[in-house]
Amino acid sequence: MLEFWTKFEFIQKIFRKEEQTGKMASDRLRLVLIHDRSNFSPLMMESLREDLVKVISRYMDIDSDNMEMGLDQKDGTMALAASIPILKIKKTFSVAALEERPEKQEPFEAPPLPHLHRPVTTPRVKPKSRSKSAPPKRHRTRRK
Amino acid sequence: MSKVIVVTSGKGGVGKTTATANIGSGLARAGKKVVLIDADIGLRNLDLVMGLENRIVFDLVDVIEGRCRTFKQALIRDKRFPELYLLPAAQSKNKDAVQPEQMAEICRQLKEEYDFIIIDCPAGIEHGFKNAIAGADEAIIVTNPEVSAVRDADRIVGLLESEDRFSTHLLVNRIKMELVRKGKMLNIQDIQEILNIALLGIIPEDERILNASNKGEPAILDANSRAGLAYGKVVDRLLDPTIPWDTHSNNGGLWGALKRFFTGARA
Repeated sequence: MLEFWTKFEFIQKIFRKEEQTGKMASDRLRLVLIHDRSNFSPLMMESLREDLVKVISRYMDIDSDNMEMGLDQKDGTMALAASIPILKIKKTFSVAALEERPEKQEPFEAPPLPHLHRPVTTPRVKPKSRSKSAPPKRHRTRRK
Repeated sequence: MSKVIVVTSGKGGVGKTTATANIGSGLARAGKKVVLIDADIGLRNLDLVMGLENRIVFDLVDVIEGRCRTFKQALIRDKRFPELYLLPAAQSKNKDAVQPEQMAEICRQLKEEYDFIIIDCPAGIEHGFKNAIAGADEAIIVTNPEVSAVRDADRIVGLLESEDRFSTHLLVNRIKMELVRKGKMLNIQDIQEILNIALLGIIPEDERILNASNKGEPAILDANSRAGLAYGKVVDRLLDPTIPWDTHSNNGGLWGALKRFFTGARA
């Protein structure tokens, strides 16, 4: 039995394509150093994430549990990279939320939206005739 | 024009002491007047690597606290070279026995008489590091082709840059070219791009370094040591930064071996 395993390992060793871990090391290093060098704390990132969810949710329903966000780098410049799955693009958006927003008052606090994952309709903007007849459809994500 | 160079890394065990010993010996061999300072108070080792451990009478803290008449009394002369001296660290004292201003003052005094003052910095970024860099105007940052060593080196580069008075050099130690070729190790270009400081040298992994420290004789004196030869090039480049890079880092597998066999060149 033992002999079988040593033989098996030997054969495996011959055929296995060895991992190119040097590239991984380089990529991981570059990423971790972006965080090390900036003073952008995880707390700030979380706060930014929450703010972004609020803003984007005015226009579309997003899957905030599965969104990915982080600092990245490309050709030596820093970037904020985000992947945000869309559940549904809103047909109407809350003008009320925009209008209630105070003009240039410090500190600015975004008005809380009533429901993050449901379409927000307002009495002031009448839905167009198209949307009246058809119930809102779930936005299908395209798959490759 | 004398220079005070600190050899530092952040991470421990990357080869600061070996680099200090070899670069110092190489500069002395080239006819320079050199003092090596071991700034690793409480964990001195440069004396052992240099093979001078039996000749210590006074140490760095004795100099600072005035127990010897002049600092020259504490300098141990290395008889293998015309002008190479070691100022050993204190082994029993507490790290706080030295203050950055005192280190800077010692360096200032040594600068008047010697060409190169090379300081072996302790690992870490605390008090010992601050002491070691206090009197220096150049820094050699030693790193290994490994994520933790490069990350720590980046931290050191950041700390030195924030002081805005150092010229920095990168020394990549313990590289295994065979692994780099197979894509299994960080390559020089990656490391240099990430840290973004001028490259001073590349030292290959070499068993003979262990040999050298066993004997207490720097590898640069060993003509069969690949690392020793690489340190020779580091010293040349330190003395003349315009020396072009040759392909010594690439010893080219079988083809390179054949070429070396026929041309008689060493890798």
